[in-house]
Amino acid sequence: MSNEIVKEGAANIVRLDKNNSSFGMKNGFLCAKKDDEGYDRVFLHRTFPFDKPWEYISVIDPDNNEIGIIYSISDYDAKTEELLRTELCRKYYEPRVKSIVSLKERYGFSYWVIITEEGRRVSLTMQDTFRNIIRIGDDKAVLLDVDGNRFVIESISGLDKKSHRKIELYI
Amino acid sequence: MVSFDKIPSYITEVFTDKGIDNIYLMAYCDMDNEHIYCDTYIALTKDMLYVTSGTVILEPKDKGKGLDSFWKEKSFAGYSIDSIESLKVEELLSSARLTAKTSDGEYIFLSAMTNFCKGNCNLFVKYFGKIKKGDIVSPDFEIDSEDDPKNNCCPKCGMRYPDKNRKVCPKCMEKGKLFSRFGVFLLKYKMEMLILLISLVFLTGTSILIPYFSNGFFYDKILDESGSLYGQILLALGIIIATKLLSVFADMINGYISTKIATKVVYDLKNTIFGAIERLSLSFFNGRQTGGLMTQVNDDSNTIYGFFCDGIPYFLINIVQVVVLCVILFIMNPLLALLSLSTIPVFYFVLRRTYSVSRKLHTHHYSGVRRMNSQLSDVLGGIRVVKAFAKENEESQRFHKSNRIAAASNRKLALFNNYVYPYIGVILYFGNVIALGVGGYMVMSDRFAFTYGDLITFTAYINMIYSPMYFFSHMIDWTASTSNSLQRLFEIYDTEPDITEKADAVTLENIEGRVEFRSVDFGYSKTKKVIDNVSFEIEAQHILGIVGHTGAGKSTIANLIMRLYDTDEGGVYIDGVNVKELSFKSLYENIAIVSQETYLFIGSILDNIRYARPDASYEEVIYAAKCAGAHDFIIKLPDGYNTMIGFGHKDLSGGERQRVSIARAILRDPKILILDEATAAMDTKTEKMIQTALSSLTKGKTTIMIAHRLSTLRDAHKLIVIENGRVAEQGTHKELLDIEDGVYNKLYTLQLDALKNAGITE
Repeated sequence: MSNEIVKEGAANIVRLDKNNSSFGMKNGFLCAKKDDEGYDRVFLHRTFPFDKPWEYISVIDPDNNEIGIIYSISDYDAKTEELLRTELCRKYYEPRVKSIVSLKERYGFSYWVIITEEGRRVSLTMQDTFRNIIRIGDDKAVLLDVDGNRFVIESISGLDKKSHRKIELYI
Repeated sequence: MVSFDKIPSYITEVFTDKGIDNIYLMAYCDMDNEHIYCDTYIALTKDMLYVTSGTVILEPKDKGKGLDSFWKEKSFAGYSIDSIESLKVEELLSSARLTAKTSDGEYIFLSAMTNFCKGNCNLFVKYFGKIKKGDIVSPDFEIDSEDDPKNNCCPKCGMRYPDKNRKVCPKCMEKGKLFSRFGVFLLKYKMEMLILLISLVFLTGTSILIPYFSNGFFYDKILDESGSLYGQILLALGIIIATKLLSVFADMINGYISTKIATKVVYDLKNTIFGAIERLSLSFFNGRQTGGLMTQVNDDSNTIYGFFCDGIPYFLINIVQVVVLCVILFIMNPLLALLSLSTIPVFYFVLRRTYSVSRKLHTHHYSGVRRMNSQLSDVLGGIRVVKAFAKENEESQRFHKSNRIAAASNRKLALFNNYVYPYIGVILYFGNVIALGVGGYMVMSDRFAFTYGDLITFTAYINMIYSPMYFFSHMIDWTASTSNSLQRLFEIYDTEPDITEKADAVTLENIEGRVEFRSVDFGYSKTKKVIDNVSFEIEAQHILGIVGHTGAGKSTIANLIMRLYDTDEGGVYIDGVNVKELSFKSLYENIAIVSQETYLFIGSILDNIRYARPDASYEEVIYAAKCAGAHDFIIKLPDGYNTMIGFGHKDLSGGERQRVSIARAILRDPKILILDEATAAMDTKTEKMIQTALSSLTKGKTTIMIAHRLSTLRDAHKLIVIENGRVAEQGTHKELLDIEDGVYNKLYTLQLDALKNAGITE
């Protein structure tokens, strides 16, 4: 059904792949070339960040115009795929929570100390804890702190017993 | 030098060693320009911007204990300020990057950072601009107090205040202070509180006396042959009845006073909270749910009242009662008292252990019910869509699932309460058993001077001590929830509104209506500019049209004229006076807005039209309604202008609501009128009707029209085209059409084609 709509062509989706586009780095920024047009800077946006993190990537120019959509970063050669993957990881930077060291609720705010999978010990403050723990599916959650930092718990049930006990009240 | 972060001494030494001194500004980022965690310091002198990244190495000191820190540099770069046009903190998602735009249009990636550092880096960017402009000429400059980290961090723990508008650290806030602060609020009821306390003392006194007169006194003094009042049953009955009557009287007084105070305190509390909410600026509401605020006003005032008017007095009385009874019991029989009361510590130990489980079950139950309720209101709100897409079964299943979860959590909680608490109660009951067993032995034994009447009184008193035990344990949780409510109350109470009227604000008696924007910058958050260096001017009684894509910043311009928000940079001027200098009276009496979102309050149509000017005559109301094209539909309603509208009453259509709101604006007769997409949601016929209404409204007024339909702006004296928060073009309709490849030209041609395709001619 959806493919039929796409074929009708009411809206134009420009599909980007290795045949019509290429990507590179310039001064530390992602740049692109589509057909014959070059872009010194481009920005990647996941259209389905939770469902399809490496697929349907919208490529935007500095004036916020969409250049096109990469259906899958694996459509490109290995080097470009790695480049796109790195850029996406940087943009959607979400440290993974390995364990929760402490969690204290104080007057509408909760104070967390967590250990990330990189081994960093991070202190974060959350307001309205229930609202700022975003559940994705049954077992995944994203923590949003007051500064807008995001921390992901890939598997709530996979947390150690002590950490699980601390977060259990909010999920 | 100004630094927004703590800069270690070894970093300042790094710069000194490189011959860099006279640093104006420094900031810290926790990543480098490859998004790898490390320490990055950015320093700004008068001419250069330096970026150094590296890590700190800790090594044991050569002599003595402790560690020495060394800076291991990974990269160092310097850029001439003249070559940098601007700095920007570009937001990613959970991180950001500091970039520089060079004068030849190239970008330089200076550093990445997590959002922890973003706020301070934005301040760095702000002061970079001032230094580059030459507004700051010495390294010993002072920053604005609102930017000073000292004013934004808790002096005790050093952490940044989580809410910038409220200089309170929840982590370090003392619970006691909250209660004592609220105690001051209750002082105006001190007389009532005193009477309440006296009545409670009476209640306690009589409740202690009743068991004595009907047990020990009755058996030992009246029924026992050796009793001093042997056989005087009538006297005993008289005393028992009198004590009971006194107790009932004290209870009545207590109930009367509590109800009286309850009503007053809840009324005052709700007024205080609502008054505080109204005082706050619009920005406060942007970060909060309206439902949450309603809960705050209703639930919190009840919780606080309950604690202070029921909890505290009963707590005090129970404490007095328990202490007095303990003293009596120890006087009556110290050994028996010690044995019987020994179960209380065990009871508390077990009870507190089960509380954590109980609290968890309560939270699960609460979140289950909350999820179910929100789903229910979601589906009921969108029932038309559900039916239109025939999704009743799916929605039923979704509801069954959340209902099942809520029911399961409720069952668990109920089972826990029904099974666990009675067992815990048995621990206390053991004290009673000990009293009966050991006391019974003492009555029968000659070695103890302990009578049957003593035993009966003793056991009655033991039970009176046990009953407040549950209350005491409940008091701990009650205190916690009240302190949360108090915190929320003071959160609103203490928040300083962003928009305040100056003490010496200017009142303009006769506003002409000239509006001017001078280099205005504004963002709803400090990190994202919505309005970027916007300047324009509109003469009094002229019409200005604002055009642009959705989200370009058009409505924000309207908000800034109304001073619902203050500009970050530059200023908005009315008749040459900055709106920040104007009194609220001159501002709000002379500006009216008709927007796409019309809000009509619960009340009659008459009340809603008169909302702008309650003293307007009936004739004026009819005139305004006629001008707005609302009169015709109003008189067709059975109750005419007295028709009740709003929640639970007559539901008006979108066009009707809009016309009532235009009538409201006509009645206000403002000098400056803002029409923000006033006809965007209307069908063509209604739109035409409203356009006619609007043309009568705009006569002789400075009018700022924001519209998607460009043809409606053709007659405007001036048009400005907003793109990404900037003024892309400005001029008359004709002037803008003459710009080939201009934004307006493109938009106009596109709309014209679309209308032609739809068979509509302008």
